[in-house]
Amino acid sequence: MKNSFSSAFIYPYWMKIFGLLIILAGIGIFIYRISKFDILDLTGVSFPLAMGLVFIFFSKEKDFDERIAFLKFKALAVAVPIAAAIVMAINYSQNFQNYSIETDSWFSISAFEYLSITLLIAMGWFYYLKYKE
Amino acid sequence: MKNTIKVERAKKDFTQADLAEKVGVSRQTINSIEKGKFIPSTLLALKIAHVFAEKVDSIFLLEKDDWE
Repeated sequence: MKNSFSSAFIYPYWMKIFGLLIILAGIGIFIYRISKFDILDLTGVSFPLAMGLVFIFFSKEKDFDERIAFLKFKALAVAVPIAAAIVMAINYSQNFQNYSIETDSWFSISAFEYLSITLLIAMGWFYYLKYKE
Repeated sequence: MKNTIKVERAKKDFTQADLAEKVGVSRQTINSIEKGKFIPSTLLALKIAHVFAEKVDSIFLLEKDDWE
């Protein structure tokens, strides 16, 4: 049925490979920039990481059905607040360590870093639920 | 919500895998439904009832706590 809950997942299974390739390319560039230019850019690598994880998480599984769609949603519902708490803890721990309001800029984790953390937690929780139940 | 899928399967001599194949889901999904861990959509419930040639409400039965 076209409007069923499981039809919300529109990416086919092979998009996981595409997502994995994006992540590998991002990590490759990240390592290249460290070795060649001595630049440690975590924010830069978070974009391909987040996009790759989006394609991996939101694509269909080989055994995709409505239970899998439900477990993915359940995992996401757990991951979003946990990731938000982690991000807040990192931001506040960075900002309150010798922070000066006159000279320092406010440290904040990027949206792509937040998305990466969320999807990593969601993926881990999803596979836990999938094999536990 | 409880269900009589296990009983119906036994009557028809179906395994979980047989039923899963007939309604187009994984065996694990049928197992989760049987154990009451997962409540199927209306579409899947209708398909299961169709396979057993029964009415949906004779396979899926509401319990008191479903109203709370």
